[in-house]
Amino acid sequence: MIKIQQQKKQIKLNKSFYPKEIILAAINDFSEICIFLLKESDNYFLLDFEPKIEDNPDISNEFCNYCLGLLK
Amino acid sequence: MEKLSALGNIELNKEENYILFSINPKIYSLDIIRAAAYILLDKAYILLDGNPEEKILVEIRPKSKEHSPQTLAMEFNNELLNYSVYKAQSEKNKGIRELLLQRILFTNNPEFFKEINERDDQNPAAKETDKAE
Repeated sequence: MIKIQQQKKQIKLNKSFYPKEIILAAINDFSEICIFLLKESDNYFLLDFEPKIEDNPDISNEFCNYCLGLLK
Repeated sequence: MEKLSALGNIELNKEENYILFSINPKIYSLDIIRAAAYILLDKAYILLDGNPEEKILVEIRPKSKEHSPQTLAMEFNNELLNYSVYKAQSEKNKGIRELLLQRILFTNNPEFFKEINERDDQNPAAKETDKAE
């Protein structure tokens, strides 16, 4: 689900569970700590991201949890 | 991947220390799964995947070493059951809840029902819409 590609990290979120508005809201809230690039495939939103300050290994997981929290 | 349950729907990835939960959406709806996942957000990283019509996959990754993936999986399982019972009971009691609410409104404002009845008499279609909602 979360893979590392040449120091660039990617988060893969299923479109059936994570609406685009939620992801955009989360990107907005994480914009101070990360730079995101949102792409789409057929079933997934693909988020390339680079942390702005320091590389925190849990950022991607925190981002997924944050999206889930916004869904409530 | 090591299977943790007799049903084979819970798998443990020892290398990456996470649990993969396969759920049949006909048994637990997406609402219930989301509610159960929400409870575990402070203890675990959770990711939803799969197909909402056929099989929903829930990846549960502990945030710290205090919680083992196995324990979190069982906790998640209990929460699923907890919310499904809550939802079933809530739907069962829906009629009584509405009745109580109507009674409260009626006690405080008897004009409320007069207004509704007058509106329904004038526009029977609105009554049908209310019932459908």
